[in-house]
Amino acid sequence: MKTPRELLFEHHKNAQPDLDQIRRDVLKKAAGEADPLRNQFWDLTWLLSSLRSPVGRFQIAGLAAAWVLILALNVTTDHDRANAPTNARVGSGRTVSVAWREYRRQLSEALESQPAVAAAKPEQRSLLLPFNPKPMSNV
Amino acid sequence: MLAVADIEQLPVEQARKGDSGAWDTLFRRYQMPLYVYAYELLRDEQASLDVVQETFVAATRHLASLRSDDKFGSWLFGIARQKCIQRWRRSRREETAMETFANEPGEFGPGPDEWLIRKEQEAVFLSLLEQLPKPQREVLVLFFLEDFSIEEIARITCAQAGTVKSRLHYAKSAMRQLLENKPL
Repeated sequence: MKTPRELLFEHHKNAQPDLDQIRRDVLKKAAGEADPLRNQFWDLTWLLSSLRSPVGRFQIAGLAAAWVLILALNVTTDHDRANAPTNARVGSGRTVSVAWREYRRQLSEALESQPAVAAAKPEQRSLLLPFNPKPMSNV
Repeated sequence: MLAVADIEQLPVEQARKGDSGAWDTLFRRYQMPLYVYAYELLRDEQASLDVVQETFVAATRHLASLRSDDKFGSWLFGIARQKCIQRWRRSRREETAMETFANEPGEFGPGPDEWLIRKEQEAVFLSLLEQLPKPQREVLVLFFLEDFSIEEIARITCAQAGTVKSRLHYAKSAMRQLLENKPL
């Protein structure tokens, strides 16, 4: 006779090795997360041991080359990015000069049409009749 | 009703202090019950193993959020359930079997250890468990595995205590009835 618990455990006993492995993995990972200094220490040890072996040296040289490539690509991208605003500035300068030319044209048109407008306006009486005083003897 | 975990001395306090031996004890204690629970919800061996792993990882990271050490078991099962739900959502296979039941109070008979299954009934028992609707199967498995109280099962399953009572009652009745009537 078995209890349901015992029966269920027995039914799933094939999963036991996997569960043990999972438990070990999680504990290992948790221990690593809890001790970052230890991780750094292991990283340093790994680096030193890699430098000692020829294969390790190749690996480190490969990694270094990859970093140099990434750096070079990064610098190129930065250069392109630095040029981008200059082009934008040139573009915007052209736009401003075109606008300025248009403004000047409109202004000159407006000034040319100004006399006509002025003629249409009634002039002041004092401007129409020049001041011409009579001599006192004539009065 | 005392839950199985209540009468055990679990090294939760030591685990809080980062004692890896304590974690090992806790994981050993719960790895199989969690797996069985996840399996009964997902019906997938690999997914159930993944759920156990994710539950353990979450437990090591969030133990500080557990207020009461004696609730460690139900807290762990609650995490496992959340992981199972995430999987259902991801696979979009969430079953509509999570329907609610009427809050009828159920009768409470013997504890899980008094449900003794004869050798010739074992296969029938497992088959009947599989046939139960998922909400009933879930509460019955929690009852069988850990002898959790109604309140603890309610907390794990995010359901009302009345709903859990009802589900457990129906599940036990159905199981008993099927065990009695099933030709062996």
